Amino acid sequence: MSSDPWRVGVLFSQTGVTAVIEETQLRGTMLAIEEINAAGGVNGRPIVPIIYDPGSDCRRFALLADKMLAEDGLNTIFGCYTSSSRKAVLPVVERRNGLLWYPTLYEGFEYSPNIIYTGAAPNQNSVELIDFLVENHGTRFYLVGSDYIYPRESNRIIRELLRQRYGKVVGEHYLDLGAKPSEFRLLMRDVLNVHPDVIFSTVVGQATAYLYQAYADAGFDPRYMPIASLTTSEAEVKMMGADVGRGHITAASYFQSVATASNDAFVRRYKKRFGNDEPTNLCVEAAYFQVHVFAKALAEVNTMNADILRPIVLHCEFDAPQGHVSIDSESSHTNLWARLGRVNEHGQFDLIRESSRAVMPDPYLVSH
Amino acid sequence: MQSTTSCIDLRDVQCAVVHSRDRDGELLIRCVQRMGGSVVNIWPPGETLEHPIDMLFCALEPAALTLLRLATTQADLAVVGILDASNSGHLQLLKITTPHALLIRPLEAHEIPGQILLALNTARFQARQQSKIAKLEDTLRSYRKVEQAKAILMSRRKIGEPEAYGYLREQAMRRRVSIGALATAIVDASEMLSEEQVE
Repeated sequence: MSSDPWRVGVLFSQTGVTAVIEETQLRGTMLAIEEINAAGGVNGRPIVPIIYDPGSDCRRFALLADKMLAEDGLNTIFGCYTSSSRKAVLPVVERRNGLLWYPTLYEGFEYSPNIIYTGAAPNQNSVELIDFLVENHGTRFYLVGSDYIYPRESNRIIRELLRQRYGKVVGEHYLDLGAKPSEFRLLMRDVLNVHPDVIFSTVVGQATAYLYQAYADAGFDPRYMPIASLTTSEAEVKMMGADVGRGHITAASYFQSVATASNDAFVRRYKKRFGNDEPTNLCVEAAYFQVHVFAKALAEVNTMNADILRPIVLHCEFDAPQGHVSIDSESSHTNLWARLGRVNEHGQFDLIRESSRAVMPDPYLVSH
Repeated sequence: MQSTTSCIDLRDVQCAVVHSRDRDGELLIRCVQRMGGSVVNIWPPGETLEHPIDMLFCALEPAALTLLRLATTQADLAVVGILDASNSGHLQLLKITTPHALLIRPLEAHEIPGQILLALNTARFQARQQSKIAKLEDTLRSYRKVEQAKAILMSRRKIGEPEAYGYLREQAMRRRVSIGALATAIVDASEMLSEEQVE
């Protein structure tokens, strides 16, 4: 029996505009790999990560993915945060028959036999969030996002969901991923004029902190006009400071504050490994549990060949920090928990709502 | 030579060589066997492929046309055409049969592995794309069924659109079936009931 290591690709940006959140995904991936190796590896063989930094650049994502599959002899890649980077890697993994594990919420409307999606589809976060906002804050939404695929596609869905609930979009603005604080200050003047019930944000990366800071500087009150988001996690709140983030609302499958035994242990190990002031977040958690799901499937088939591994992955279950999750064989997406949280004074999320069980993914919103 | 063939492993690949057992036929069969492939030789070509195979090497001749056409209907079958360039109708045959790779007579042993690799890669990629398309078509179909089921629920139960969607979601979750499957069941049952009423 071979004792060669299992070599896997890891593709998260450590530089560039989305590096802050992608580095947390890298840490989640590494923590899981270290745990598996400490427990003896998979069938006695350790997992060895081959790590590249695509630098928040989609072209580099595609080129490095191709290098991993074609030259480095890898079959499995853990990686990608933005939808544009995933869309760049997708044709590569399909052509070379690799398996990309994608640990980020996204806008749905995609299926690839070569991708395992472990972040939330819109029905697992947006639907719950819109329901709550319409019931508690009102129906006039102001949409603000970063200018790339995910915010535009996500807002198309938000618009539809809102229409079904007799709500309407009263403003819609997209700012460059590298937008400056001054652009957000300008935006707040428009918000003041329009006076919406909710600011719905799909701003990602460093600019997230500028948005919330500009909101605070404008003197708005989140009790009456909260910023609602699907991407503002503990990592972004740490960037902007808890005082700036406090009171705003995020929908996610996972918060650090989730009360499961599996999460207690996860948070403890994460802090021990990366420092006490490093919070976990939804992207860390997905990046972490997906490696464990991979290892579980790999132990069963003992080969990384995608054609053999994938059918096993599609029936895998795992006791993740967010709760029990399983891969949905129909869609290659994951049955995940739906939660709403509000930022508190410690930069953590107080739970507002929680599903009673994992919600089935419906990436094409067939039932909405 | 050794290094070229060693990166191709045909141990799990069932091959058929549809070619007369002349010098070229022998050369090809030996080459495939060296890479670990199991081979059946068929000549003259019949109308059907009797054995389940993963890879077909076939002479591009009018006699093999039915067999080649049949081969194009099997999505994951890798097809290598064997072409006699002296045959005047060869381009026409190539156009009709669309193999994944091509060998030209007289065969050269060192040219065979490259064409095998090419054919296997292309056929497998095509098969994956086919399975993706099938899945997407399935999603489209269930979209339509959900719309129909929703309309039925709205008129039967006198409820609005969000309630009808909610009902479908809830029932599908409870029964642990996909929304598409549940919607199909509702549409079928409703059609059956209205037929009975007509009778």
